[in-house]
Amino acid sequence: MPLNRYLPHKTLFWKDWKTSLPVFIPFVLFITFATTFYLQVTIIGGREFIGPWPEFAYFENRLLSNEFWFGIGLFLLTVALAAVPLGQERERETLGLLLAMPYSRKEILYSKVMVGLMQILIALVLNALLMSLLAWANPGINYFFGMPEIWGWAGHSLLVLTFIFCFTVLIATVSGTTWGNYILALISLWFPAGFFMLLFMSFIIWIDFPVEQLDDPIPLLRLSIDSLGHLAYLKTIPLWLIAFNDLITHQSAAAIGGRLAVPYLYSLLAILSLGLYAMAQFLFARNPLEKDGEVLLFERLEGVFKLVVITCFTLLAGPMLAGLFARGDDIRLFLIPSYLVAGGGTWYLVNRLLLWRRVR
Amino acid sequence: MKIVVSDLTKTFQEKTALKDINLTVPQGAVFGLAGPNGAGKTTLIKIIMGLLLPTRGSVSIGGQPVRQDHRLKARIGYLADYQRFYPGFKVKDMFRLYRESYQGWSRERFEELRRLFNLPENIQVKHLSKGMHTQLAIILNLALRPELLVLDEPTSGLDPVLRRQFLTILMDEVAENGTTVFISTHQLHELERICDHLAIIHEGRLISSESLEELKQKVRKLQAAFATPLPAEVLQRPGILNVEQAGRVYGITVQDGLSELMAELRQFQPLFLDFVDISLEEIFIHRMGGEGYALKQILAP
Repeated sequence: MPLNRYLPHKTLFWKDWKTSLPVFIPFVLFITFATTFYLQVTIIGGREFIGPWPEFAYFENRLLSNEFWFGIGLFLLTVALAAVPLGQERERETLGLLLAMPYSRKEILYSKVMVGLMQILIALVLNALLMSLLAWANPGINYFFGMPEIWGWAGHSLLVLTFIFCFTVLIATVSGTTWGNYILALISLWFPAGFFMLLFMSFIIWIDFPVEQLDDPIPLLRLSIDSLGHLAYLKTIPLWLIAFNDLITHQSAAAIGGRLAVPYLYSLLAILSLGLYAMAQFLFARNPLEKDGEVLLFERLEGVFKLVVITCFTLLAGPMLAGLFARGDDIRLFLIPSYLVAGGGTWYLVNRLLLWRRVR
Repeated sequence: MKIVVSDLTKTFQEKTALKDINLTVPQGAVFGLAGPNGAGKTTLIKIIMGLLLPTRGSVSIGGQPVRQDHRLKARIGYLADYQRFYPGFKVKDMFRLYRESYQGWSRERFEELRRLFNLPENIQVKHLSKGMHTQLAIILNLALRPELLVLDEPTSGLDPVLRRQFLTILMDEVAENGTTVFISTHQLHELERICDHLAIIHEGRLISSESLEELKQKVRKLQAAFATPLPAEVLQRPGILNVEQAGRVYGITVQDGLSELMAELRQFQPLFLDFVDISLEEIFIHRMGGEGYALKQILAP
């Protein structure tokens, strides 16, 4: 079977590459900053360049303590890499121009996916090469990673980011706006962890959690955000993997036996990515163009969307409202009315949002 | 390329944009589509181009549905009501996109049109005026030597000189290549100049679809003068679309029952009775008036 059968149309590829550069450039810069930069810091530190620049050590510490945020940053930029190109085509109405040209919908989406994946690949390979070059040019410096880890990181990140990318492409085929793509992808990727955390939070209020710690809404908000963050960091499949995008975390994961799960997990990720892409093609082929600009392109999804958003916000805002009204009384007395108020308020806001987009 | 629209209905949520449209555009015809704002012209064109899915019914071009047929789309040029290009692209990038996408792209035709419109190539599309956007779309779509041109309000944003120039180019295109043209516009005098068929659409329904010659044969205008005023019942006969009166001179636009009307008018011994030319604009206004549409709103500025 000829290989060029799998290549995207070169003109579409060129067009998609050119239009996605405003997202690709921050993406590649971020990866370079978040990964290669660490190696540079180590090398400079090894050569004792820190002395005349005291702030540098502080900055290095900040860098090392923020690997979680680097993972999140990379995650957010990957979502943008998939959400922006299709969203912008819809919002600028250039999708109509493209669909009137001699391309099938399949070719149009395929080209966008290939451009995105190529950009992820280029960013990772470029950085792995840069890090390899730095490591090779500076022998004798005490790294705790070597060439296998560097290229292992690149391969690992490629699979993880491909999964996130394909997931967002799928979302982009059901949403009509760039922000809709972005926010729905974030909600859906966080939803499994977030939902169970919110359920857990409501549950502990009913059991033996010290009530006095819950009747102040601000600590409660912090508690829920922290818990969401931790849970997302540790348990949600995509974020758990993203956390290892940072070279150091990747190295530590391997050291504690992370390698054992890797072949299964990576195979699963590759299969899931392919499945998500196939589903995206299926939905894109059935896209009703007239609903561009709406949060959701398919009316049947509106009910599910509302249910998910209302449930999550009710679970999040209910205990906080109860804490606000309890003022030292038993918070449980206020919980059910608070859920009702939060649920009703969210229902109203979600409907207004959908209507607002529709009218626009 | 022949376009066949069969039993086409399109609804958006609760609103019916098109209802049971049946239309045939013969191969090689210059087919005009007229109708007031919101009549459903753009929706019909988007369905013909495969950009929107019909709720019911079908559209075929050259016997094929267009939506997923990229070979068919390669033979069709399309000017949308608002020209949308990639804002970060330069004009030359748009040229490249079209040149590499369409196999039928003609370099000679492109150079000829580019010289004619004198569009700067190194300017970003977002800096072009509305008229220049239209010029760019015209160059791009005519250079691909289409067998079918679908044009949605193509002259909007063009000044009168460019508008005339565009119509001349379009007529040349039809004369040289036998291109089928499907054009929607408010400028009825333009349609009159270039079209051989006309369809009128109002509130999503097709009011008429016929050749311009048939239409002008069917709708006639009589001018007559009488020594005494005509009785009101004569002027209220079925088939009379409009009556203009200046003293004892009458201008009567009639669609059906012309011979009976003339016979009746002769009984009142007219000082003179003759046919006068009727413009497409007048036919359109009187027909739409018959459909209950407020006449003032029919013609766009």
